[in-house]
Amino acid sequence: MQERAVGFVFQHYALFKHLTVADNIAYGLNARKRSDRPAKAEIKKRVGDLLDLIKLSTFGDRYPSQLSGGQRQRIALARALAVEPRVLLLDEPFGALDAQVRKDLRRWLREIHDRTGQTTIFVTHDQDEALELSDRVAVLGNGRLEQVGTPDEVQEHPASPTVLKFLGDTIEVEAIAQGGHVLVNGRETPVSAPDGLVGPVKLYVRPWQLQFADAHEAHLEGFVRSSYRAQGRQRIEIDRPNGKLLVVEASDNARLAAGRPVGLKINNGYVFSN
Amino acid sequence: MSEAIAPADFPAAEASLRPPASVVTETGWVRWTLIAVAVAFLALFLVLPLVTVFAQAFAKGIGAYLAAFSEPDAHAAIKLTLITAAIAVPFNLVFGVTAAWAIAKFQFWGRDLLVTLIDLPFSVSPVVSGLIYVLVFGSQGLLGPWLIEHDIQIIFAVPGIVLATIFVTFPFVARQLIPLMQEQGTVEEEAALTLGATGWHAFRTVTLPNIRWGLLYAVLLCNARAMGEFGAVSVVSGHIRGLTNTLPLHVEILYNEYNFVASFAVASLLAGLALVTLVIKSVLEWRYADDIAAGARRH
Repeated sequence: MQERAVGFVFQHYALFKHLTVADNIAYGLNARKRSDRPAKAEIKKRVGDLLDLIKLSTFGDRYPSQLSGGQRQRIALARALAVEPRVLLLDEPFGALDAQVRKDLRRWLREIHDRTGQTTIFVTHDQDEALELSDRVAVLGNGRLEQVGTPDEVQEHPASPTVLKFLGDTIEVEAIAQGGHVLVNGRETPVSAPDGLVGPVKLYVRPWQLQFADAHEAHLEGFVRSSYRAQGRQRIEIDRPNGKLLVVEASDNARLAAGRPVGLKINNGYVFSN
Repeated sequence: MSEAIAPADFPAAEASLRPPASVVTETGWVRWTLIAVAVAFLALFLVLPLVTVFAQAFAKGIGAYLAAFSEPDAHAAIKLTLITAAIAVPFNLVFGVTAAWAIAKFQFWGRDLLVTLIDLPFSVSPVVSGLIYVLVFGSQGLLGPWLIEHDIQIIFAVPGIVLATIFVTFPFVARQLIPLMQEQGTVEEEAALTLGATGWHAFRTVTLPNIRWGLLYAVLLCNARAMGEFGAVSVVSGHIRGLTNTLPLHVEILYNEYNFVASFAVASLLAGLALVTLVIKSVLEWRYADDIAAGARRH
């Protein structure tokens, strides 16, 4: 770790609790051999610059126990940046913080990154975090590297069902590929099958790629179990005849009564061979 | 992790956190009985003996009291006690920190055995501890012939007293530090290493500051015990006046000679040492209250 010059930010901050914020940030510089160590004034200036960068200029004399979780993590980042690592590794840095703070810090981290140009590896389980922050995303599943690409690439052309599922809610549908088209329950969908793919396939559909439809053009059917509103949209849970639960999103405010039969049309989706 | 709020920054919050005026549900007489029992117990078992020591010491006036210390034997006993503590405490300080550090921060084969061994001096009677040294280093003992051949005297001499004291006070520092260091874990050290610190630098600047209060406390206790140890030292010392008598042994000899004033006078010195130890500890805790609180507030 030291030889590779990797800066590390821990999930639980790991600040030195007996040192002030300024001393925490200066730690890596003070730890250097006398010959490599910058002068005292130089260190002080660096610490000041970093405190400005993380917008905690007036906090230099405080102790970590006097700070909030979000502030502590900002100090941890400044401490890691102080030694000018070649790569910065952030291991779920916002994992211990609540949702609103996470969002603020995400935006803040992006700004810091744009300003410093520091190469950063950000490890997270939160797909929104990954997609918002990164220039390139690497999706790992079961110890395997599933896909590497830009956020747009992994969203538009997911390389595997694992990637697809990681990036958001999906509905898994049994389908048949035939003549370049994908059929669900014998009805053709707008989804085209890749060349050479014939026979039973798996179709993955996002909740917003479904639409309510009349029985004669529906690909899927079922009965409304319940519906509720979340973030301005209706989420409707539907029991399918095969016993599986399906959740769709709709923008209309009309609530669907429980037990009502509904049909669903597939507007788009992702095809993978079985 | 819960957010610690510094009371100083939020006086209003502190006020609201204060417990309600009355959380006591016991009736008056129950309270006063409990308090009276506790006070009586303290008085009988702690205050009274302490007062008696000083009362007896000054029973025949300050002149007699001071006379007890003007004897050459008393000087020798004080000197020997100081020498013994001056060797035993630093030795156990270094050993205790090393052992606690190894046990708390690393996993290795024989770790549990080492923990058990560190406890051994506490579980063995001090007299037995002393006897072990006699059996190993005495003239009839295991290494006896070799030691005689090389003209090295350990038993009935200062080295034996120092060894016995080290053995008896062995666990103080390690025992105090192991739980503390285990609770603190290794995250801060790992952070120090990722910032380019060497292991030694991390130990000095991260591990040691984090344990300083526990360490200070342990050293004070270790010192008090090193100066006050009787059993093990009694076995290996041989009670040679002016040569191998420590303060506690000197007290016993004087007492057996019915020289009560001198005996209690010397005892008052040991009692005074205990009081000084407590005062230093309290003063340090008061002086560095903020630091201690900062350490305690980490949860």
